[in-house]
Amino acid sequence: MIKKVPYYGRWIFFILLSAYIVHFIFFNINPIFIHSAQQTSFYINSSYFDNFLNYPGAIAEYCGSFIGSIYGIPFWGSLVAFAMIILSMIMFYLILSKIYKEKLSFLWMAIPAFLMLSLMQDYYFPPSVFVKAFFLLVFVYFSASFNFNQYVKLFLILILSLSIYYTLGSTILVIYLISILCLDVVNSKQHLKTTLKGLFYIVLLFIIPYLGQKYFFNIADERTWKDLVPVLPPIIKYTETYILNAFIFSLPVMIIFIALIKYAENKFHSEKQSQFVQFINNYSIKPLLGFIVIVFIFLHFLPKQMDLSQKQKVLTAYFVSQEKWEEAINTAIESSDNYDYFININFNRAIYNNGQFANRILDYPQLLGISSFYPDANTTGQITIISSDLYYELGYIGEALHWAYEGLSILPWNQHLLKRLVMCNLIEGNTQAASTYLSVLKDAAWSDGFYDKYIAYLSDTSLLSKDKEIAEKRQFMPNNSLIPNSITHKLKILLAKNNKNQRALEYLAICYLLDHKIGDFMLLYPELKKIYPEKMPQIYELGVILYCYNTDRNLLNQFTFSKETQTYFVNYSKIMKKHKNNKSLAQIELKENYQNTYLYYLSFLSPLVTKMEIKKREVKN
Amino acid sequence: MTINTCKSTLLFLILFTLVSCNSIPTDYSKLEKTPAIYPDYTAITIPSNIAPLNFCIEEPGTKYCITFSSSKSKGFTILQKSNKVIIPQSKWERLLAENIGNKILIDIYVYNNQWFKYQTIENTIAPEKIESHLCYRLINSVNILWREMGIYQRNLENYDEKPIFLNRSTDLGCVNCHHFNKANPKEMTLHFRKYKVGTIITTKDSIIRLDTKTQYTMSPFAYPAWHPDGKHVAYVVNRVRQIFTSTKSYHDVVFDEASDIVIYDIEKNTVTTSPLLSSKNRENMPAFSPDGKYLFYISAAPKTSDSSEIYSKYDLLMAPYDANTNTIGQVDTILKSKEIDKSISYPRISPDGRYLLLTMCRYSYFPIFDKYADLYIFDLKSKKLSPLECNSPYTDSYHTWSQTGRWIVFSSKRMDDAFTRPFIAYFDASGHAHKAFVIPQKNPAFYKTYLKNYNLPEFINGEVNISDIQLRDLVQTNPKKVKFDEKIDIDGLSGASYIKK
Repeated sequence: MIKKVPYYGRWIFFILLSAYIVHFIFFNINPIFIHSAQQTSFYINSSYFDNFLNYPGAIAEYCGSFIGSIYGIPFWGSLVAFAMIILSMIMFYLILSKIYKEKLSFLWMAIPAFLMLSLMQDYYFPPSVFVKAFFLLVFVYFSASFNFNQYVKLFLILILSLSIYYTLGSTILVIYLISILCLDVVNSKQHLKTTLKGLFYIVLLFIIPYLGQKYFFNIADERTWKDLVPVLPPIIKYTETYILNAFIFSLPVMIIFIALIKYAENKFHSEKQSQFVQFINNYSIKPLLGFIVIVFIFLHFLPKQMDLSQKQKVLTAYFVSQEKWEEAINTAIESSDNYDYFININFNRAIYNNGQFANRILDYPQLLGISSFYPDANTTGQITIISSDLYYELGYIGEALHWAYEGLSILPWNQHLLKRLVMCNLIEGNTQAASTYLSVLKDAAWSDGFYDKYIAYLSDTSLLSKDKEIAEKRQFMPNNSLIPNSITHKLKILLAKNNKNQRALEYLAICYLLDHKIGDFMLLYPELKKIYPEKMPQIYELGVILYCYNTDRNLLNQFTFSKETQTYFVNYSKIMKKHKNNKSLAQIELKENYQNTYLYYLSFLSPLVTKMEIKKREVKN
Repeated sequence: MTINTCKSTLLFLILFTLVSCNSIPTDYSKLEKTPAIYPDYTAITIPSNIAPLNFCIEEPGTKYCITFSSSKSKGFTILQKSNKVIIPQSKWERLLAENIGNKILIDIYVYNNQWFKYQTIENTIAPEKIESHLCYRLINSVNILWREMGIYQRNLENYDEKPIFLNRSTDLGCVNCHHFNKANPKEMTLHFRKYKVGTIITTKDSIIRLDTKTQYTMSPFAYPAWHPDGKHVAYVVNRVRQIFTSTKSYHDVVFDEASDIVIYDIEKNTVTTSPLLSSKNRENMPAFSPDGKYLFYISAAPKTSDSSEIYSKYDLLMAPYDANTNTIGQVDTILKSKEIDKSISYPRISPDGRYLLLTMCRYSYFPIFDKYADLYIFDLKSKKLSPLECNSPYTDSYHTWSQTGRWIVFSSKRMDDAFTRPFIAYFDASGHAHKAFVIPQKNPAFYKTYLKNYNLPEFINGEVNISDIQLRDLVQTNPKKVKFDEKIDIDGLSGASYIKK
């Protein structure tokens, strides 16, 4: 057995931990998904910066936006996340070293690493919290290193406290003052002085945020001392967990804990140690045990922090935004046991764009029926972007524009929405408005070429008519009509404007089928037949069969059906007959073989059967 | 090279730079066109107390020389590489003060391989000053799902902008309907919707927060109009709705299912109405005449069908008002929408009582979404109605008068057909509006990237001295309940039903 861990052992641990962090960030978390979920944008201009001057902690949020925007760049985002964790680990270690003057084990660095990786697994966790935490560590370290007389030190702490309050917010100020108080208590031998200093810190802790809220900053009462997480709309809101509290209080808690260890070591240190204690101290038992515990915790607990349903929702949205349709479809199907409304909407979009719409529509359970084509039925901030996307694809430019405007009110500076506004205005021929949005995008960090492409359209408007996308949308967009409060009516308006709008036609057909409106579906049959002259998707064929069964079975002779559909229909009917048309009895057998089929949907999954409704979401935006 | 040589060279360079900074090009080619500048500050009439009208020169060049002068004074020159012209405040103030009633001349020289001189820009300085401040709401382009918004005041003599109220600290509720009595910053009314619902009224010696919904009125107060006595405010109570269209030029139609006008007595804390203001018709947008003897408002026929509800047009009406008895006299129709085939909104009477400034749109009373909404002037003496000369092909709306009657401010989407910006126009003694200009900003390119709308700009004579923090705290307090006038036996639920007591 190694009698003592060699000096370089700690560096080996550091490298191993770093390697694990890199691996975890790159392959488990992938900050690009954080960027996709939070839709972070960053601009290099004064009007963007001006938004971050009016309340405590806003400067840190500005830095957080910068980091959040880098998350959107492959590799660099992961590298920045890694750098933030490593730097925080080092600062954390340096602070604890102030107490445990002997060589403190590097194992302690694993604490911030574990907590930060846990937090990052929530894709809505705001990067500004890491910025705040890092600067908290830096300020605590420097405050602990002050080597001035007491009055100068107290004056500097007052100045630092004011700066921390303004730049990092009141919660960080509270943690900062508690941490330096703990350090003073632990390191000082002059109890009276420490008590007085403690009182001074406590006064600062209460007075600064109180006066700040009361007289200087227009912030709500409840954020006087609790402003760690920025105020965000529900669409990107992070829900605080115990891990966040553990993370933010880890510094003062660990200061006290290390001090207690040191105290215990000093108190119980004697030459007459038992053989067992001598064994533990002489051989590398403690660090080895620590290492094993850390490995166990990292490998066992860390991956469990990930909310898989959230991950799949974010991933589906990301793949759709990147037009990676197959990945989006597969991710959605993987998550189909845990139904999600937004995954459903994105799945429907992905299968259409992948050219498999009617054939795969039931591969994801359409538990909310036509609602998955009509997110704006329930007007909240969460549906703005997805509604704008949906209507843009359909060519309903007025609606795409409307929801983009609403979305921009919820998420000002959002680049996706700004680009949408540019496109919609170009399609509508309003180049002046497009120019305003382009001017904003010009200052966006990490340009993707959008600005350069479309700014040319403003100086040479002939490019507008040459652009395929713009030309197509212009043909499809309805004008001069009221926008109805029903998706089927909206789709009909699109078809009335241009019956070549295949997406509108197929969406309408599927809406009718999902809504059990077979008669209305049959009215679209001739147009659908033009799209599928050879072989109709099974769901359409079943719609025709059901129509004939319910009206006049002789009509069946007028249509041709594929063998697969006929076999499926016969087999499905046989199972039903076997169970004497008792749906409940037949369900297990039917589910086994026909879960993703139209007849199963009509009997068991349709919201008209299950009475499933969209939960009323948060009203505030 | 010795230290002395270095010093001499440096001194020479500094002197050379200083000299060249003030030298106007003498060798140039003349161009017979006005230079393109943004914002358009050419051929306008401006008040002598306006902040420097900074602008961008939108002509290609590597150096720019701009001279500001007049026939009376030499003025000053700016030579720079940037096309953004930031005018020194003190020099600008001096130039304007020395030339009241005269023209200032702006000569622009652009260096593009050689110097070019454009036609001189001539702007007139009006004899009348403008109010020192402007109040407005800033909000994103939004129809339903607003988030952050605020009421702000802007010092027109410089670029200072301060919030009067921000909804960020009060659950993001809607705030609007700000209005001042004769531009007095001490007499203000402000309305809150959705969260912390109520109305704030500030008078010379009090600030109150009111719960304005009563049993006999259909909604809390909206769309205010101060009576000049400062003791009464007319408000609208309404059931508002909106529909969306795919019509590019009118994509959102805001309309009322029903609406009435009520008058609030600040001292008695009572709200009253009249069968004439609370009829089955949809009365809206009240405005008192400057002498307080008349109440002007608009009215549309009641809903008979969905179409009539949305596409209705509003007439302009006038009724005598007695502030002592708080009563309304016989109503007279001033302008009939049928005759002019437009819907009337926002009647605002000039301080001398001669002119009525109106917004007219295609239908309903909320013109900000109608691209074809324009400002009209109605001469109460000659009964002549005419479009204002400063209208644009885009939405022009939300206007108010300055207390001199020589300036009007309004919201216009003329800069990009997307965002409303506050424009000021001179209104001369013969009843004509001059070319309007957008309020200046320190950064002349500001409006190119600013994604908020300026709603309801209104002049104020000085700064509102209540801070946004004071108002935040006030909004958290319990409101005072408004009482419905016991003497009145009809309600404000539209239709003037008799109240059974």
